[in-house]
This record gives sequence, C-alpha cells and structure tokens, in this order.
Amino acid sequence: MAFERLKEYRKVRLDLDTSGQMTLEVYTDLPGEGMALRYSEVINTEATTTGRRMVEVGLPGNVKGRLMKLRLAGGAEVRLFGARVLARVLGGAEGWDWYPVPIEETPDLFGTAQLPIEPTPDGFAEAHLPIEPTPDDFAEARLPIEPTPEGWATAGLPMRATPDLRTWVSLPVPLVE
Amino acid sequence: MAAERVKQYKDTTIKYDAPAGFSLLVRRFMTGTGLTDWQTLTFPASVGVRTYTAPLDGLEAILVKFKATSTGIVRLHGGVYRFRPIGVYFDGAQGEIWETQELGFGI
Repeated sequence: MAFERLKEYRKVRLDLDTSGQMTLEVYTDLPGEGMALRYSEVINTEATTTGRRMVEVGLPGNVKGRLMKLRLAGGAEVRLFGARVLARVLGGAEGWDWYPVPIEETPDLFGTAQLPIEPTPDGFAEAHLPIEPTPDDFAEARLPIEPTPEGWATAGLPMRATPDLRTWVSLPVPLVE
Repeated sequence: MAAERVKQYKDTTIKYDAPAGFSLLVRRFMTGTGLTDWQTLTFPASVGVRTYTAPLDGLEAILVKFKATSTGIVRLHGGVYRFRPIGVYFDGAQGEIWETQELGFGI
C-alpha cells in the first residue's frame, strides 16, 4: 500500500449491461489520506439501446490518489463484463495508460455441460435367461442296490430255549366218583 | 453479490425417443427470488431416436433445474446444455452492489 505512487485518474470505462439506472461512485484516498467519494455519475445502458455496451465516464481533473475504489449501486440488474481506468503517475515519465479492474472474465463462447442422463450404449449387453445349463460331462448317481457287507451277520435258530426252573403241568385225567 | 457466479445459458440439446413428445420445465435459482419457473420448452414427438436443440436464450441463473413430463413414454439417451459465467452480475433491486477493493494498479 505504502509503495503506491500518486496517480491522476481521467476516465473509467465499463463494459456492461444494466436494466435501469445505476450510479457509479469513484473513491480515492487523496486528499485526506482516507477513502472518500470524489465523483459519481448515473449510468443507464437501457436509455440508449438494450443490451451490452461500453460506457465511458470522464472524471474531473482533481481525482487523484494512490488508491482508487469503484462502486456501482442502484435498483437495477447489472451484468458487468469488464472495467478499466485511465490513469497516469503524477510527476512520472509514464504517460496515460488503461489499467484493468480485476473482474472475472466472461467467456465469449458458451461452454458445454452434460445433463445428468445415463448414456444409452450403442451396443446391446448380454444377460442369461434363468435356464439351468446342461453340463458337458455326465454326472454319477448310485443305483438303488443294497451293498453286500464285508463281515458275516449272526441270526438265531428258530428253537425254544430250555427254562432254568421246572413248571407244573396239569394232567388231563378225569376225576372218578 | 452471490458467492457462485451467475451464468448465461444458450441452449440444451437432448437425444431422446418420445412418441408423444415431452415438455421440459426449466427452473432457475437466483439469490433473492429463490427457485422459480423460467419457461416450459416443447420437444416434438419422435418415432425412433432423435436429437433436438431447444433455446435457453435469456436464461440467467446461478443454478438450473430441468423436469421432463409427457403423456407417453419418454426415453432420454443423453443431453447437454451450454452456458457461460458472467463476470459480475448483481441485482440492485435485491440490495446488491458491486464494489472493488482499493486498487493501486501496481504503479
């Protein structure tokens, strides 16, 4: 800041489009070492032709300072595409020159953005129908035949066992009277 | 001023298939006014896939939103829109102003 040299300002050029009346205010830090309003002018691009155009605002000869601030205010919509200031260093060897005001660039051409739509592929994708595939090889399955055991099984003969205790048996003899 | 830049929109091109055609409602978001309807664009009926470009001239917005409606089936295959950001856009009616920093111009 302290290294800025004293300058004289002659013009402000704006590339803009306003929908109505706006006021451009020019502030500088001299005289008085404080930013103060030095000049203001009404701008209205609608007054001549609709749309974007260059507007050049001439500044009085006493607009000087090390620093400058621009302010655009009013009740209209504004599209500001660029701004420059014609200035020169007081007492310097340099002559008048245009200095750009830092404004983000408006591209001349329109850029392209994709809509969030999934693209439809040109080719068709493959999907399997729900049919069980037939294997190339044959599978093995057991026939329903009981296997023959390796060892011998035991079976009882059909004979009654002899009981350990004796039992009484009634003889079939008729009683004599 | 809005934190995100306002964009100017040029047109939108959509690849689609819609036997009854479809309407594209374009909504725009701006500070102060919020999300509002801008215009409804008509995409003509098509037999098979076709590409159609609809103009968006005059549309300025921080954000846009598209909504497609139809009385029939619509197949959207893809689409683009063209835009460019404006250096500075502000709406004085919303109390917005433009003001620079203190400029020394490097001299």
